[in-house]
Amino acid sequence: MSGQKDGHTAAHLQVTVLLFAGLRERLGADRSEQTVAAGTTVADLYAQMFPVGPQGRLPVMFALDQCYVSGTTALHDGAEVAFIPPLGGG
Amino acid sequence: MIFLTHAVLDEPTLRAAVTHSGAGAVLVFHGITRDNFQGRTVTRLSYEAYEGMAEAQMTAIAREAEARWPGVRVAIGHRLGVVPVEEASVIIAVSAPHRGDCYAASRFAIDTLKARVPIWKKEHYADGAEWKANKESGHGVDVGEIEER
Repeated sequence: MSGQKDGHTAAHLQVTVLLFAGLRERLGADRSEQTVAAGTTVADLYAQMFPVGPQGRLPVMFALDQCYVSGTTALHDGAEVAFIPPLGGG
Repeated sequence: MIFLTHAVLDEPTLRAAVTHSGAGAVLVFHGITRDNFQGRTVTRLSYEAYEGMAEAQMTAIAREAEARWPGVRVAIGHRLGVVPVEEASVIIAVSAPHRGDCYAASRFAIDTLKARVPIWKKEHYADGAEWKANKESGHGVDVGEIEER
């Protein structure tokens, strides 16, 4: 973890957001490096990156480090976050 | 055997992965691509995945089925990229000592895959394209067990 280096408080976290399907197309990128305040949850980050538009916000599930988590889960420095749009596999 | 591939899915390989001398039943489920959706003609379908997590979820589903129905073995292959109409996007092979558990485990595996495995399907029509959601997709409902980190 790099958040505590040089003795500073980890006031900000660096996270990598992976984007898929319609969200990838909306941002025009399949990943995005984000700097967020400590205490930010995965749902907070989704709301920041995808403000509610005229058609509302796509309902997503949240993954942190490749596991499903609830939206209230706090981010950590170095996290791999994914917003999981409605699934279409099978 | 659990995998994602951009190649054609090979049914005999998946079937062989679960077939053994103690099995009394083998079922091989093929999910295949369809050329229409609600009256619109689909010209092309393509799939993309969150690959590491998708393989982890597919593995977890196989292990859950094997724990719930003793003696069951499950193998899953899912195709990515463009999948031509009538070809398999997913094949799930299941063996069991007896047919009842084989049917139950096969049904569990495909239903749970549709709800939990991070794979997306885009349907292309003559006049546009759309990301299609499974009705089983766990959005807005309980996704079952949230994994401990």
